Amino acid sequence: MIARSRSSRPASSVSLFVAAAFAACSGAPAPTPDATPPADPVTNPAPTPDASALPTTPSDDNPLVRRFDLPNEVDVVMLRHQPGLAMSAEVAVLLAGGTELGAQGAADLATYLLVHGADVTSGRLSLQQRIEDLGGTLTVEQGRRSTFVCARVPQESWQKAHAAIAGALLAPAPGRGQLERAQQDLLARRTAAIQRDPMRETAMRLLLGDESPSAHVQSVQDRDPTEAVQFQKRYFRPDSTVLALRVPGTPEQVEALAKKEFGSWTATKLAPEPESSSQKRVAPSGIVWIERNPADQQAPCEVELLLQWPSQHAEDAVSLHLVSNCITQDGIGGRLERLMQETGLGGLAFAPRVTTVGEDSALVLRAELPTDGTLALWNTLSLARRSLRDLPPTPSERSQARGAAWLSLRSSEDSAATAMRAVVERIVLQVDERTMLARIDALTGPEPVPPALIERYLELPFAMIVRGPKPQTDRKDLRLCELLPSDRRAPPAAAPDDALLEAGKPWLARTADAIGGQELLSRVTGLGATRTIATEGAPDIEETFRWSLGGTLQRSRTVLGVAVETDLRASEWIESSGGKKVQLSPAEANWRLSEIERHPLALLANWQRSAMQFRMLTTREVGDREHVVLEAVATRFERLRIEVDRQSALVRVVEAWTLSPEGTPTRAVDTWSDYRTVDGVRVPFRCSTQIDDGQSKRVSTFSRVQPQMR
Amino acid sequence: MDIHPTAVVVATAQLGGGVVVDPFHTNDEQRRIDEALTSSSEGSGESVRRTAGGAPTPGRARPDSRPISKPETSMQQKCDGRSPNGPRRAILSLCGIAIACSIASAQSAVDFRTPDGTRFVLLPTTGAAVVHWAVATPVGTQVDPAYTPGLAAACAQASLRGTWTIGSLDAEREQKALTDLDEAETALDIAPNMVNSAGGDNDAGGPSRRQELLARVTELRPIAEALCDPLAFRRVLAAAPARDVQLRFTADTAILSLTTTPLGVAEVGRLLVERREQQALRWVREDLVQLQHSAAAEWDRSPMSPLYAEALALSFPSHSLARAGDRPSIGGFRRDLALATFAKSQHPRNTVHVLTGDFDAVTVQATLMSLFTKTSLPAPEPMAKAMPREQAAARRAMVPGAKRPAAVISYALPANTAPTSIATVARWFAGGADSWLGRELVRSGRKTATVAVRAPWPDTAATGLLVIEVTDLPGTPMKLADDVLALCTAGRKAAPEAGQLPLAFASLRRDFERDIGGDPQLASWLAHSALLDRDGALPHAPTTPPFNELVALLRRVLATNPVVVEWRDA
Repeated sequence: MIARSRSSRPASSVSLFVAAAFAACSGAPAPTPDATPPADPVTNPAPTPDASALPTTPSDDNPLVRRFDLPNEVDVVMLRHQPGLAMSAEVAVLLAGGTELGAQGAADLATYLLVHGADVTSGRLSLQQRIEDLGGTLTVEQGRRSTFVCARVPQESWQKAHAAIAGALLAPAPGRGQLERAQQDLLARRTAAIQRDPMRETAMRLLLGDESPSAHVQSVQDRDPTEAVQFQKRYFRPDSTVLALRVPGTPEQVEALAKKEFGSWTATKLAPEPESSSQKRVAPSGIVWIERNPADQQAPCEVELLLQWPSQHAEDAVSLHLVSNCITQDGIGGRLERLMQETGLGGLAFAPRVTTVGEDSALVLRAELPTDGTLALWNTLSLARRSLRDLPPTPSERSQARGAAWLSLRSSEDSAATAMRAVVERIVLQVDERTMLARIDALTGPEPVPPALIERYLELPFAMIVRGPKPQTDRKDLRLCELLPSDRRAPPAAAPDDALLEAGKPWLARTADAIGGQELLSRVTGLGATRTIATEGAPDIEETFRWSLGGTLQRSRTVLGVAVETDLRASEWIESSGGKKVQLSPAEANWRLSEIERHPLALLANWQRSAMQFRMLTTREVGDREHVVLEAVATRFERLRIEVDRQSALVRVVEAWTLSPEGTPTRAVDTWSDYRTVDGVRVPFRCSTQIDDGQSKRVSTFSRVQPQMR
Repeated sequence: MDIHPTAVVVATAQLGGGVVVDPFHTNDEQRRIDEALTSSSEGSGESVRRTAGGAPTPGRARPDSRPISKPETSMQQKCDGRSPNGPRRAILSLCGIAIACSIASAQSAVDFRTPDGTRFVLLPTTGAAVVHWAVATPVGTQVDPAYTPGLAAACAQASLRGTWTIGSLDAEREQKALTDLDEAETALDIAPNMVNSAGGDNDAGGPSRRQELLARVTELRPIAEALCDPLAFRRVLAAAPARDVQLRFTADTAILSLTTTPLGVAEVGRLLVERREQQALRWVREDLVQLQHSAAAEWDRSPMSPLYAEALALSFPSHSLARAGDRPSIGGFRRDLALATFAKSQHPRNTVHVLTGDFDAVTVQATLMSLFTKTSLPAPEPMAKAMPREQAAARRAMVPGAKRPAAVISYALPANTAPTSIATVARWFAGGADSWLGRELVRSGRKTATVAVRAPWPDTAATGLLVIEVTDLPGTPMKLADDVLALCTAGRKAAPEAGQLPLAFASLRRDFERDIGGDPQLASWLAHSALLDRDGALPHAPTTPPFNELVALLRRVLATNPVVVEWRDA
């Protein structure tokens, strides 16, 4: 249990505001933790997955080094510093202003001004810039009731970070021009973020209680920028601020420095804000549907299930997390998955993440599925939740969920900034791990889960965000959601044109002209040839083939006096020798055909009839020549590149990858030469081939090449 | 330093002078623990590599050696509610059994290898009593078959669909079904498509061979599907418990990360070993197609992709890195090739596990030592180190189809260049509009030009490149590369003003802080960094480089012959 250094502070304004921040999420007070001891590892020593994979007792390290008030009531919390591998230190402030306070959008502007406000005339850099110039990062977590600003810097720079934060909080109010610029910057950033990842931003805005991302942007747009200054004066005040430090200094150093930097901060006296200007906002439940660009109607819907968790510090948080994990654990296991299997959604795999915004966090499960499936998924989730009333979590379910509940409870501490926030809040609220563990254990006994707890869980908001075509339903729990106000929507992006494909066309046209012209090429229907293939260390092969653009091949090979005939056509792939006939496998047929289809005339003829396209890649110097490199697009070759001599425009090199009959991807590089003209078409009569970077080499010398023409 | 398994100390937390019992250990193991405790207390030799700020500490870890800035007074302890033994009290008083969490803060990093050769780094931190676990394995050109890019990544993704024991309803039948399906799919993939290419069937009557193959695949797929539950492994992991199971790919590394409890380490470890040793690789073909499509789409989105591809091809001509920038081609493969690739990528020798969080390193280490004992995967050949070719003269290449001036200019770095040093001086020289090059471009009249730098790059190279990327708006003069090359030559005489290099280093440090924004990120970063530097010590935060030596380093680099790739029509 964290002890407090001063007993006189339980009702301080800081404690009150932090407590208030979580009151919204805590619900009814939890029953007093009973004395049930944690699971006994002696009687259950094996770390079975369902029951005992929990820490048997929490870490006993007290992070608090010292806590004291400055005269202006800034609550200073000094935490134990451990530099770790990063050798970092952290300085943070927890401020009592969040998005739920003041006019909607004012908190966002005020926080933006605090972090990004700079004064060029006096040379004051923004807080963000100052921290980054120290080699650190600044994290801002804005919640509904509070804002946490945390600087993480190299440990030797902590005093400078401390001064930078104080400087930002104590900076004089900027002029109207600067305020307006800040407002425009903020709007531009929020708009860009929504356009970049609309689903993620929508989930975040819903969790903060906004109706939609569009409503949020509109609210920021509607504010008079001076409201940001008013908000800062009203809520960013010394008497409701916690200054937290995890730094290598001594408590005396910290105290002296805090007094020096923050001592002159005084609260401005303002009339209380009218109650109507601040409204408690709750994340809405139901289906939130974002209509997608009509051009993408065929794509599956993007779906995110948003399951809000209770605040980690709420009194019944542990119990509620346990119940939540009985429903689902990261989208797997639990009642939701069982019911999904029954409703035909069993194969759906979710990508889970935890979204934390200030005091609130939620499990977000992302998936893609057809439009019909979205409503089925929503119905299944609703059913899984409602089933808790009829059948509260069984001891077996609770046992399964126990370890997962511990992890989900702590998941909002995964980042350094949120972890520090959690520690500070625990100190202020006097919550510790031991209490959490005791509560989990209390719920894994044979006694049923109290109905009140189930009802409390069912009160937690849950929503489904869908991005897809216009919904064909008029369900009451479905509402359409706008991403951006109409004046901030970007025109739909034009379909990307493939510049490289276009760049390749002139080169192929030149190549076609170089071998006889495109008109002549368009009359080519196939190719016949006779050649001798000489391979190092192997007997020569005499070959005659006839190949058609339709893909058929008749080939005759003679090796050491033995003839092998190959006949490939759509309905059969046959090879015969000495009266024996065999059906070739697809790999064998493909291998034989690919050798012929790499011939420059075959490639160009296929390009001429649009059966192949080529993308421009680059130009390269090869000896004293320059080669233009083009790559085939979407052919059955796994990769095929041709190199065209820039000067002669003839195909000189063909590189192709093909799966060999043995199942090995194989790379063949053909170098073509000795171009001669036959019936008006220039065709090469010599080819040197290297297989797999020189593992095998052979040379083909053609005695006859005969283009087949229409 | 590799650690012999029997030499590793597996001491558990000591409490009040008593030797404690760890529920994970057998009697024999416990005896070894006791012996180790006894011998280490007598000052036995160094047994494990422990790192705290880079300093190795011999002997066993001292659970109570938490660094405290200065001795605490009893008043302070009283103020914050700790008894003198408070932080060390890591026992469940009811049964007197040691715990797996707590006192983590007392420990420094533990870097060791388990008997099967897996490298582990344990980095206890303070905070929530959870364990963040990251496993880094190589993917990409280092381990992919030369002509099937993306296969190792696809295997890593498929591996989460379970093993022959977890996820299979009948392992024997499923193996046969997957093999049959693989044969049919391979045949369909590579079968000549005569009907389509000819615009009609050449033969009269009867189905084509391709149609027969398609029918075969359609017949076999449901059979294989019916024999497995591809979510079972995830479900078992969740029950371990493990949360936030993610697989990410970054710079030719796959990082599998998850969060568990300290006591969940044993079960998660067992599952990770099973995933490695009994992998079924269900639906790996679909994973490969999906990964290749998304990688190709990403490649297409960036007009600079072909420029970087060419820079790699010209800089590393005899290494697989030469292909690393190519647009991923949709390739075929057979299942046995996928299994061999998975084995190579996941072999213990090629993997690094990092565990961070609030746990007792000694207990966790002992648990891991007992789980990661052996492997049946064949030992892979060592991966070739990539060194850029020294260019005898400046190499130039042009990528046509330019819509605006753009170029990528790369210089080979000297061997053993300190990454922090080159990264710092490169940022000062060409890291954005405020860099020396950025300002000089404006001064030379190119007011709309943008400049960026990467160094050292790529991450997987033993010795990398300094790569400068410059672009300008459409309509500006196309000879941007020549302008930049002239400035780079002039830059050999440039000297930073006071404070500029520290500012450049600060931006490097900021990026590091951003990368390790929390314990899970720290685990992933550490695993990734340790994997890239296979023979090195434990990676650490960037430390201030010797600023006075950086300019000389930059001049040396700029004096070499660059590879210049322009986006420009000839």
